[in-house]
Amino acid sequence: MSEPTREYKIRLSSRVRFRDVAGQGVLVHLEEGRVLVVNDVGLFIVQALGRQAMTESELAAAVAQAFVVDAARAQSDVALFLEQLRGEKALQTVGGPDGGPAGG
Amino acid sequence: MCRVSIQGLTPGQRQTIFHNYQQYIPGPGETAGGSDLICLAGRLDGPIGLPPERFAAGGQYAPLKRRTSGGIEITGFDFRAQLAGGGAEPLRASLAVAGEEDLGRPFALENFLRIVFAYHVLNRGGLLLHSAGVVYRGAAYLFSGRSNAGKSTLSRKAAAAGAAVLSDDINLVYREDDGYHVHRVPFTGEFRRPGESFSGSGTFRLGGLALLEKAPALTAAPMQPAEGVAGLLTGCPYVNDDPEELPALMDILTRLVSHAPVIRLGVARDDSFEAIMAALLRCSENV
Repeated sequence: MSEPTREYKIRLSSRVRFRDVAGQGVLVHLEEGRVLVVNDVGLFIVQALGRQAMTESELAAAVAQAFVVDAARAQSDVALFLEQLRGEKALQTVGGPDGGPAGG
Repeated sequence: MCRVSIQGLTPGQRQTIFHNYQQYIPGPGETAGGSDLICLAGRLDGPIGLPPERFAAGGQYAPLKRRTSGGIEITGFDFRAQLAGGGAEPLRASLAVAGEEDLGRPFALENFLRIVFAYHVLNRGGLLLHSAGVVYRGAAYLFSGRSNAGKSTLSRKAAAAGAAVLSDDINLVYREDDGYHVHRVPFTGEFRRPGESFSGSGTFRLGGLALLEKAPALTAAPMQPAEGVAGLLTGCPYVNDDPEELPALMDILTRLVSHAPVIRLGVARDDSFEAIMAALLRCSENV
C-alpha cells in the first residue's frame, strides 16, 4: 500500500512583486524580468500566497468561498493557475521533502 | 530634468561632453551649482575583464547593476560606477573608465547617464520610458515597445511626414500641475535627430501612449489598466528590476495609465504615419 502524498504549502516567491491595478494583478519577477497580468481570481490567489503559505486545497477552498463556485471547479482552476505560476518560477514550496524550503 | 556635474575631467573631455549633452551638463566655466547630481570621474585600476556576453539582456547591451550598502554599483563593459543617495538626498556618483579617452566618447558615459537619469527621474515622480516620442499637433505621443517593435521605423516615418521626433529610443515623462508632460532626453537609438530645433525646452504635453507591435495590418485597441501598466513596466529600464524602486514605479505607472490609457497599436511596414496617428487618435477618443 502506498503512503498518502503529503500536500506541501506554497507561497509566492520572494523574487516576485505584485500590484492590484483596477482589480487585476500585475506580477513582476525580478530575476526573470517577466511581467504577468492576472485576472481577479488570479489576483486573489496571489494576494493570499503573498500573505501566507497555503496548500493547494486551502487555496481552492478559499477561492470557492470568495467567488461562490463549486469546490471541484475551484480545485481545477486553482491547479491550472498554480501550474502557470510554477512555470513562471513565481512560487516556492515551504517545508519540502528535505525539510527546508524548496524552489517552485 | 536632470543636470549632472562631472568633476575630474580634462578641458578637452569637458568640451566634448558638453557638446553632446549641453542641456544636461554644465559647460566649461560653469559651476556645479544647481546640479542634481555631482559625479567624480576617474580611471579604473585595471580592465573590467568580463566577457561581453555578461552584459547582454534581451539581446541588448545592459550594464550589470547591484545594490550594496553604499548604494548602487554599476558595471559596464568599460566602466564601473557607484550611485548613492536618492529620495530626500541628492544623488552622488563616481564613474571610473578603463581608458582616459572613454570619458570623451559617448558609450560609457551615455550608458552611465541613462541609469543616472532613470533613478533621478523616478525619485522625482517621473519615469524614463523606452519609446519613440513624436510631436503631433503640438502634443507628444509615446510609442513604447520591445526591441524591434518598430520604434525607429515609426520615428523615420514621423520625420519624413514632417513631425518632430523627440527620441526613437527613450523619453522622459513627468506629472506636473497641469497634467503629464514629455521631456526630451539626450539619448537616441538608430534614428539620430538631424539637429531639429524645438521651440522652448523640448517639453510637450503628453497626447497619448501606445504599445507598439509589428502586425500584418494597422490595428488599435485600448488596453486594460493592468495590461497597460505591465506593458509600460517592461519599458522602464534599469529601475524595473530593482525591488526598492518597484513600488514607486508601479505607483507612477498606475496613475499614468489612469490618466492616459494605453492603446495597443499593431503597425504594418507600409502604414503611413498619418494613418498610424489617425488610428491612435480614433481609438483614444473612444476609450
